[in-house]
Amino acid sequence: MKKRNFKVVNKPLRKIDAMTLALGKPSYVGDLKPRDALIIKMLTSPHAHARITSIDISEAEQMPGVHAVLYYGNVPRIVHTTAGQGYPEPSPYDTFMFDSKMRFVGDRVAAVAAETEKIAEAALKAIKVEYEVLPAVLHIEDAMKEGAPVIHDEPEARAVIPVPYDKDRNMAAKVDMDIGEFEKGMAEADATVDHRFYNHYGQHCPVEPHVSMAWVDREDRIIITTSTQVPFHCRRIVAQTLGIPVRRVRVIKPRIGGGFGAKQEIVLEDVVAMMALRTRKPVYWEYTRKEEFISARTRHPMLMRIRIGAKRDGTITALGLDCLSNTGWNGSQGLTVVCNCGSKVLPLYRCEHIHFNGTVVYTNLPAGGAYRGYGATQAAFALECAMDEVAEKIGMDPLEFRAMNHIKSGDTSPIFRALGEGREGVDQAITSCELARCIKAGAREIGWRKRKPHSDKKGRFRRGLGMACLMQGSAIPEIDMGAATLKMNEDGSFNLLLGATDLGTGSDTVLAQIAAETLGTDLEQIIVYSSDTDMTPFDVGAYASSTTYLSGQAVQNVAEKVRKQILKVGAEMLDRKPSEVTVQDSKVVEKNGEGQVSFSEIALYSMYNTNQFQIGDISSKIVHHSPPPFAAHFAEVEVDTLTGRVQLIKYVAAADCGTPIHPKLAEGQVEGAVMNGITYAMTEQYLFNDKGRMTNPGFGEYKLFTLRDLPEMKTILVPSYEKTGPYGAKSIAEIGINGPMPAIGNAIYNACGVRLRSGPFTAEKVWQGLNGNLPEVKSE
Amino acid sequence: MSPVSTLKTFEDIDCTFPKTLQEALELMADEKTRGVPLAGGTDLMVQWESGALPMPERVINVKSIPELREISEADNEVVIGGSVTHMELRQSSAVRRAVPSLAEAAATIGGFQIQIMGTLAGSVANASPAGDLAPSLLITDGTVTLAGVRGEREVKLTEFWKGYREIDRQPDELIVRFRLPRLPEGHYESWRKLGARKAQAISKVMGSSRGRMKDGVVSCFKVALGSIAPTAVRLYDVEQWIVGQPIHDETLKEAEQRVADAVKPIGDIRSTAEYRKWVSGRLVRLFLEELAARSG
Repeated sequence: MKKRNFKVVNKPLRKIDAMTLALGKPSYVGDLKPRDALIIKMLTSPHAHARITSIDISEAEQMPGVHAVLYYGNVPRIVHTTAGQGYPEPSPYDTFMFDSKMRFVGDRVAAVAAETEKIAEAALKAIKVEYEVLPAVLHIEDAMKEGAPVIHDEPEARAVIPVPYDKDRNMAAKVDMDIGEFEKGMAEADATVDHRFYNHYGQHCPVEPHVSMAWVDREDRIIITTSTQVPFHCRRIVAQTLGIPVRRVRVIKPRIGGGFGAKQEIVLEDVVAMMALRTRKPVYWEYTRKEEFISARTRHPMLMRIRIGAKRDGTITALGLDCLSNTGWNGSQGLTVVCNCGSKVLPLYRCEHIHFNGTVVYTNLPAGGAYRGYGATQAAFALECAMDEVAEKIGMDPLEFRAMNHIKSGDTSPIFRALGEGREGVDQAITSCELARCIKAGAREIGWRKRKPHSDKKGRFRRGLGMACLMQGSAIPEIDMGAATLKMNEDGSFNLLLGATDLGTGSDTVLAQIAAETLGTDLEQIIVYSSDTDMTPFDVGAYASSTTYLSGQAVQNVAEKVRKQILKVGAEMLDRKPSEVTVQDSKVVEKNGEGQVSFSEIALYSMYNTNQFQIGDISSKIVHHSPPPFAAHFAEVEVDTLTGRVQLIKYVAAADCGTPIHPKLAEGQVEGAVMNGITYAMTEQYLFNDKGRMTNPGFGEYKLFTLRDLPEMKTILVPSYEKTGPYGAKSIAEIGINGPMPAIGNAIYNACGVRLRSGPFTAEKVWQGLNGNLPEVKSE
Repeated sequence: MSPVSTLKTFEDIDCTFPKTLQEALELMADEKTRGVPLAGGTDLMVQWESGALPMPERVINVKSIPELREISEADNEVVIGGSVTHMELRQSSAVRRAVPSLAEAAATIGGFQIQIMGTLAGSVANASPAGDLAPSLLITDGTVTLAGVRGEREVKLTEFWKGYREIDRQPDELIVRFRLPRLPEGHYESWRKLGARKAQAISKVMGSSRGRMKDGVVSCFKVALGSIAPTAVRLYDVEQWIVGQPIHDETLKEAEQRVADAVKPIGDIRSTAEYRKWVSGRLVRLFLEELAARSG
């Protein structure tokens, strides 16, 4: 790869909001709460499936300090989806602001806005509700059985794009794809595997839970300040849900304390907006951690059947994946997550005969939503463990088997066209793939050569090595759009107005770097503002690994346009043709000569002197490719056969993300995602009682790894250049979370011969495995 | 009464901070001034907040009472004040010498913040079956001293925990100190905790042992496990059986089986009954292996 001479991008510069955040300056929604804001609290359903037969809010309404009580009887009943996606949404319309039907333990019954939290809590207790309890669907396998309770029996529920949807059978979505002849491929194989895997529930656990506030301004517009990844979708969906025009809603996103997909969803904003309208006062609603676990969103749990056939020479003859996905009480992101199980995972290996099915079912359990990895996490677990199992059967090293079969630069896959986001996808060839080098670098770092089969291992402590290969995408091609506005100020600084949503990722810094590089100026000259639906241009928001790749190109485009304007003015000032000058270090300089004018002089000239105009522009971008980042992950574990405990010793993540615009932030994304995946693999789990109530909704018993639990971690960014991306960049934010389940699962097998096909990898499961009585894989 | 006033928060608690033990005991003696003794609050405050325990009217904070904060060594025992924190236990050289497993156990409780706030008496009085300090106290055959205005009373630790979250304490009494016989020459202690992660993990199973080998056989062995019954328990039958036995694969297997048969754990949010039963035996096996290895 040729060396490129970047000035601002590809440099670990100071994150532009680092000092503000480090000093603890008011930045987040909670910091900005007006003193007189009413506090919102929600009464939730104690039953997994029930109908409200009577509800009396009168006592609560009359309590001193209570300003409003909302329930299904006094708000508009407008069906919508809570999924923050493009319009029309690929998620079904199956949700109301409030309903008389309860679909999970934690469903909305009634909301109170009161002067203090204490009064609001007391008012909730004063609301009298009677329920008719209905039989509930608490397991994925039961959802589509004959006679199963119908969760969405309301007439309004429907799919809004032409995709399979059968609410009478609790089916929220379905997708099928067959390429070649799968059964024939299986028949041609020398060895096959056919196993079930289960991906358990998991939550994003952002440090900042969902939090929103709103008030009505003097123009009768609702101003919502909210912790969201999708301000523009939020504006559209809130307007839709309240039955008011979009023009009456403004959504402001301040700094965000992490989202990971949980905030690609309208969880609080509809109620906050309705309350502001009803009370005409500022209102504030913040989820407790318990509410975050139960009533926000989760990773869609999935039961998967994976089938792989291979010849003794290592050729993969057939690849089959069937996913039964639990979308919980609503269908948010159900279809697209399951589509990604196919489209972001199966193209990884060359194969002629591919079968894929995704079926998404409703249950009376917490709702799935967008979560970093978005289906690829689930499918990578099944595929990458099964790849090891096939490799063992044909007697190949799992590394060699993958190296031989993985997709390479110039290759394409029929899956790219066959599977899009709820519709047909887009053909693409792989334009950059350094997976082979990721595998080599990672293998060297973990010491793969010393790997021995588990049968050679003796003693109490047994170490094992495992690996996994991964891909993801970069934005949703021909669907997602990003835009940016750039304007110049008198001192040569620039306002960069972004619809793109920095939720702690550092995207404001990354996008400012791209602008500065293109303009030929310093990072300090770029003043970033993101995001505000009144001020910044449209952007779909932060999801689908899109911000650097998609919004980055919008920024590069607008910066190029502005650069041309600067050159034109600079040339005019220097009495040259635009072609005779160029930009350099915040100046326009003559290519052949001494003359130069600073950006500040240009700005002053263009504002006050001659031919005045505002130097600035707006630009938007859609993309026709979604170049996958690639990664090879390696794990070393030690299994204590005395107790079954698994200790993670070392974790290596080698990733190809094209040009890392900000190498430290890119590394941070990999490490954060890997840690996120490790703790999901090792300790996180939702526990439910037999009535569908989550029994561990708090950090006490929902175990996340602490820093003391983390293994030695090594991140390797393998250099590559994606020619369709801004300065060669691809995405990096999601891919890292997909590796730990399969890499650690494979390492445990290599250590002690126990193959765990469901997480988390607890001592209890390893013990059952060591004793040869692991139960059949099933859902929670 | 409107429902608002019935909802209590921490701010509604009447909390007093006696400066001396005598002052605290006098407050405890009178029903009108008596409050829930608080010695760190790392268990109680969580339970009040979650609603697992009702928010109390009054609290007597005993954490800073000087008499309860001392650690002293006598010839055959170490005496530890009730308000000594977990952090102090793990850092005390006197405790490390006298009851090493207690220092180790204190080092695994909660995280650093909890270790700095939480205390020995608090953990003992909370009487959770998963209280990490109980096994190490039990294997010493030591005592706990309770005080009231009428005087002091000494109770054997093996008789102090009466049942699930139940201790032998009168409403006017405070736990003041623990007298723990020191580890005799030639004896060794072991401690293990099995939790889901390295910090802030309530135990699935944990335990301690104190024992000695002489002339190739076990001459003394005391072992206690927690999280496997309503209280932490000594396994007297296993102790008696192993004394006089050499430690080799067969006796280890037998010990493991006897322990698994002796404990009757339940399945809950943290683990399964089956795993706890099995791993209890494994822990005791490990303790015996460690004893043999250290005894050379």
